[in-house]
Amino acid sequence: MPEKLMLKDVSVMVDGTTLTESARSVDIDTSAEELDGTAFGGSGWREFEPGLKAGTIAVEFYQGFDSGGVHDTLWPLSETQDSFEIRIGPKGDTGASDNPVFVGEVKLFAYKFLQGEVGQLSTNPVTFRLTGAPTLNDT
Amino acid sequence: MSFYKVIGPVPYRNHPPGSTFEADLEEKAEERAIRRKAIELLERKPTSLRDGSWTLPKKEEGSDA
Repeated sequence: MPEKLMLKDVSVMVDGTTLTESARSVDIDTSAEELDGTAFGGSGWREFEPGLKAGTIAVEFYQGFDSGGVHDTLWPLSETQDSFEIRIGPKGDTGASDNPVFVGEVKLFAYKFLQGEVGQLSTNPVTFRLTGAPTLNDT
Repeated sequence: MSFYKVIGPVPYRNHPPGSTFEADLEEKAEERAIRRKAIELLERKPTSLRDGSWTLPKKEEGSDA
């Protein structure tokens, strides 16, 4: 029976610091632009070619200001605009053929210092953008 | 190559808090990790060749070099 992955042990490492226990959702998108190459003779169908690729990694964290926590790790990266490594593993950070760990060099874009409402846990939806091709560590 | 200790409360590059590790960290990554007190530098090992681990290239016959 094919695997039907239920997300449970996704690992999130940002600039070397493990933030797994502060993350609650991930969304890794490495789509290519769609270039319309439709020409005559297509029998009424549009034809597309893949264009430039871009990588966007959205992670929603629970916000926290403790040492080694979300703000402590991400705020300096937001301020300096340095590029740094992000690693996200579907089932932990140990790469294997059935657990390819996504590794990419990124820069931090969207960062929310504080958001939320009374009585709710404050979350911080963060957006990272790849600065080059990612790799998959599956060994 | 340098030696570091994880002084933050969460793992750094999969090294648990309190542990020491040896790595060749990129300069800026090291600087950021130290600044946010994730790790501390214990010892910097200068890059060097160990005695006896290298030889000069052999001079080829007929070569002036």
